[in-house]
Amino acid sequence: MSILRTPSGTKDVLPTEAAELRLIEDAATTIFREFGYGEVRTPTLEHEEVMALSHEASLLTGFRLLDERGQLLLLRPDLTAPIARLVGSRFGGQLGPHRVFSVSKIFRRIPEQRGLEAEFRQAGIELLGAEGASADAEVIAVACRALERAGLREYRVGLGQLAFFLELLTALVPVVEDREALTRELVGKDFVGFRLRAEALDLSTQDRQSILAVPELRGGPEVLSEAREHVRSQAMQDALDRLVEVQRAVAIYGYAERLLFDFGIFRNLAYYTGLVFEVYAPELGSTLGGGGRYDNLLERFGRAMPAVGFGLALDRVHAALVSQSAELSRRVPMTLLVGGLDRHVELAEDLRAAGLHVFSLAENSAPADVPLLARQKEADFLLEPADASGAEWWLADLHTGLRERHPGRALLARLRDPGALGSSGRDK
Amino acid sequence: MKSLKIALARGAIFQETAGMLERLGFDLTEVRANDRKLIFDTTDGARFITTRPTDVPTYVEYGAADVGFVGKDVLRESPKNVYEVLDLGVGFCRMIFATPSGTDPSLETLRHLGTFRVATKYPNVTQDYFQERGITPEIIKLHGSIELAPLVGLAEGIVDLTSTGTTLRENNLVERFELFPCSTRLIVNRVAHKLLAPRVAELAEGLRELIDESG
Repeated sequence: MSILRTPSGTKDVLPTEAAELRLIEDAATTIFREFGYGEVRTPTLEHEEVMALSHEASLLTGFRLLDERGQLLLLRPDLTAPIARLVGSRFGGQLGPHRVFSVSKIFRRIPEQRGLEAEFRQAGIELLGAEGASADAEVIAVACRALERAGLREYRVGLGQLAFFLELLTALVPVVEDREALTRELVGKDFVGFRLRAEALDLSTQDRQSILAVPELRGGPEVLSEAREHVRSQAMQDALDRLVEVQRAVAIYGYAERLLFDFGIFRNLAYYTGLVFEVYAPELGSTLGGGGRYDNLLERFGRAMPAVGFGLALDRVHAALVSQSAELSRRVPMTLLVGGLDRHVELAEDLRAAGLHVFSLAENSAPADVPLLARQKEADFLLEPADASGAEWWLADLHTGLRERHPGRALLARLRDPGALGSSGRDK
Repeated sequence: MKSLKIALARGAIFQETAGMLERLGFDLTEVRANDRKLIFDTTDGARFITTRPTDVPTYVEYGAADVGFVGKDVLRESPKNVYEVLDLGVGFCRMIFATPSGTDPSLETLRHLGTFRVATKYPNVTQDYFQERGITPEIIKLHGSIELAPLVGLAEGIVDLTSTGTTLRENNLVERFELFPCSTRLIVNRVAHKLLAPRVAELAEGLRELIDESG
């Protein structure tokens, strides 16, 4: 029989990868909880009308199915809209602000043979009912700290402000359709198309210069003063001031040097309203995740409140960690115990009770297979009976190849402190 | 036999294929002499159409050509509804998987990330080969100079056609295994195969004799 494939854009996750992903997930959720975020889990399926409230057409193109009444369902293509639904419908009597996180698979249709992201795991937080730069800064700080806890060393956070450019258009371009067309080019990352459209508009040289220049502003804090030259309205001034405040607040958490300011970030999700950010690792050509403020979304779910959040694509964070050679091994060493499955179950239990991980084999395991098995299972130690009675044992460190002979009662103490294995009773 | 529309690819397999057709009595003087012209009508009724190798099966499938000569690599990558009649036994090469020399980086990446990146001109061939073995690679479709991809970190390995292996060696790549061998094939349009059966059969038979002669 030929091997059965997984559907296009998906893959199986085997133990090594799964263990590493779990460490990343644990690191992230530990940080989320430190900041008071509570976990929520939403259904894998959502009614299409829920996703439609995101006003983002691209979220409606995913995997669809029908329920027993013929209503259209979507495999969750995003976490923010389901959480907005949950908060809108379930947090009725509760006082804000609300802090929730979710670690979930999300599903999107991808063009064939374009990566493996039809299904991917995202860890995200949402801070709801809190406005102001301090809330933006907390969310950015949580993202940074979660990445660092997972072991990421090299990364930057691109910080943008949609409101600055949108208010510039409001001040200078009277026709709504023109404004939307310009924004669409930028969301599509087509700066050439954007320039052509901007040049076709009837504008003063100075105004056109501003429209062309603002999306190209990016760099360190100096771009904030460059942006000041393009301010045309109080709303623009406020948007810019907000960015300065966010920078100040992020500095308190210790992450100011991670920030890059970029007025050209137009996240491709229509629900963002102001501050937006993206996380980059130098080794990866795609973002590790991102987020922003979506102050108008909750209103559509029945409870108007400001909100800000982010999502991290855990597989991409994993890829970045691997390329930065981060420590991703499991912390507890694993011992392969010959006989632990049948004759020496008590010994296996003693080791487990002491907090060690044990992979049990039958006593009559073929001796020739054991070393290969140990490698395949990525065991750290190998315990084999040294005599027929089971009173004496060979303990081998599979990384160094060193072996020691011990009476059974001494094994526990030896394995608890294996750091010096091979320094006594050495036998190669 | 002569009055057939024959699709030929300029490129690696042209010389050997053209040589065989000439030994069967086809006149390819003008085809050889003029590589800017695309259609050649010979005095004995044959029409030669020259095109890119990857387009030969398309011309034959739609009947714009009755028969065509093309490498197995092209047929495997984009299966077309045509008859594959004969292995000409020329244009030998191999579809291989290669990675930078030293420890195979694709294995380590597979272990950690559950996938690895393969650069190739043959995404379908690559996808099928690995998925039949339970692996889902991330396929990076390129159009040329595939060897570059692993050297600049675009991919861990490549799937590409090789004949002598010189290009691999010059780029410090090592063949890890062969996906399948390739050679030039005679393909025939579905309708021509029936309605022009005597002519097609004569061509195939003539070619078969040449192949047998050269052993």
